[in-house]
Amino acid sequence: MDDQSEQNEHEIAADLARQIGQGVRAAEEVLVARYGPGLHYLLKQRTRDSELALDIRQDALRVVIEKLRSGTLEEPERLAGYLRGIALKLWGAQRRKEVRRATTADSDAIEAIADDRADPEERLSEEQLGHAVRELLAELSTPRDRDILTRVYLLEEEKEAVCAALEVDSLHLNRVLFRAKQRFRELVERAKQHGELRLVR
Amino acid sequence: MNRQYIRDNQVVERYLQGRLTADEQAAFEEAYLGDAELLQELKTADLLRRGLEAHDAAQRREQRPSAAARSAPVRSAAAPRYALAASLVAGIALSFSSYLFLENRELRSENFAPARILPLVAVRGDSANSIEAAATNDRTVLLLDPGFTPYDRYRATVVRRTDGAELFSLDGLTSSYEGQVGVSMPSRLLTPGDYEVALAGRMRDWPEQRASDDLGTTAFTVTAPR
Repeated sequence: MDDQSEQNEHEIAADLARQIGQGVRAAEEVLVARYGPGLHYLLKQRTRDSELALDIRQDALRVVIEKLRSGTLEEPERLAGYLRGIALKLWGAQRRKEVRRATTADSDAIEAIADDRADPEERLSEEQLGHAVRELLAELSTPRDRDILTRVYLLEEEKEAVCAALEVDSLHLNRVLFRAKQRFRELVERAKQHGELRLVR
Repeated sequence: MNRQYIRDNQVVERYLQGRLTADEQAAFEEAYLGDAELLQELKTADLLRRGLEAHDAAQRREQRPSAAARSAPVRSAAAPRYALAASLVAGIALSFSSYLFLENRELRSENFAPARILPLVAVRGDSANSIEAAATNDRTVLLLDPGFTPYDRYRATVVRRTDGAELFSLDGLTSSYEGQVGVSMPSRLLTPGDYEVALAGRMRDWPEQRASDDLGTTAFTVTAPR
C-alpha cells in the first residue's frame, strides 16, 4: 500500500461508513467484499482453523455493520483498524470459552458470506506445493538466489544475516523475494488451470 | 504502513515468521485488510513457505533411511550414559517438585487474596476496555494478549495517562493463562481514570545490553464503582 493508496483506503472507508449509515445495503456488500478476505486470513493466522475463522469473521462483520448503521463509529476512515480490533476481541472471547452471541444477521451481504468457503489455496496438498516449489527453484538463475529463498522462508534467518552470509545487498534480496513470489504465483495459477495441482479436500 | 516500508523491511516474511513488533503487526494487518493486492502477495508468500517446507520434508524423507542406519550403533553404545543422565534429571526434578509443593501450600494460607480477572483487548478507534474500580482490597489480574511471537518472559508497566505516572511494573512474567500474560496488581491502585499498560518481551538467551521488544500498549479506563 503506497501513500496514495493509503489515502484512498481512508477515503473509501469513510465513504462506505457514510453510505451504510444512510441505509445503502449495496455498500454493506462492498464492505464485505473489500475486507472479508483479509479478515478471514488474519483470523486464520490466529485460530489455525479456517472454519472457525469464517465464523468469527461473520460475527465481526455483523458487529461492525450494525455499528455503521447506527452511525456511531468514531473515525470511520479507520474502518480497517476497527474491524481488526473487533475480530480480535471476538477471537479473545472465543479463546476464553465465553458464549458468543448468536448470529442475528438481517443483511443479505452478511448472509452471503456464510457460503464463502475456504480459499482454494488452502486445499493444495503439501506434495502439490512441493512440486510447484521444485519448478520455481529450477527456474532461479543462480544457486545464490535459491539459497536466499531457503534462508528466508525455511530457516527464517534475519535479512541482515542473509545479506551478510551470501554477500548480497538488501536491494538484491528484495528483488529476489519479490520476483520469486510473483513467479510462484504464476506457477500455482498455471498449474491450477492445467489441472496439475488438483484440489483435495 | 506503505509498500516501500513493507518491501524494504521484509514485513511480509517477518509477519509469517511472527517477528513483527506489536505495532508493526497491527499496522500491517490494517494495511492488508483493505488492500487485495497486498493480501495476495502475503498469501503467495505463505504458500511459498509451505511449499519450501514440503519440498524440504520430502528431501529429508528420501535421505532418512541411510542416515538412520549410520547412527544406530552410536545410539546403542551411548544408551547406558543416557540412562544415567535420565536418572539424575528425574531425581533433581522430584526434589524440585517437592520444594514447589511446599511453596504452593504457603500460597493457600491466609495471605492469599481474592482476585478478579479482566481481559484487555487492544482495539483502535473504540474505547473497548472499560473496567469498574474495585471497592475491596483485593487484587486485579489484567490479561494481555502478547501476540504471535512467544517470548521467554514479559515485562508489564501500568501508567496513568493523565500525568504519565508509572503506577506498577512487573518483570519475569510468562504467558501461562491460555497464551495470555496475566498482570496481578493491587486493585486499590486502579482508581477511576485513564490508564495504559505497556508490554515488552525478551528471550532468556539475549545479551543484557539488548533491549526488550516493545509489544505495544493497551489503553483502558477505570470507572467509579456503581
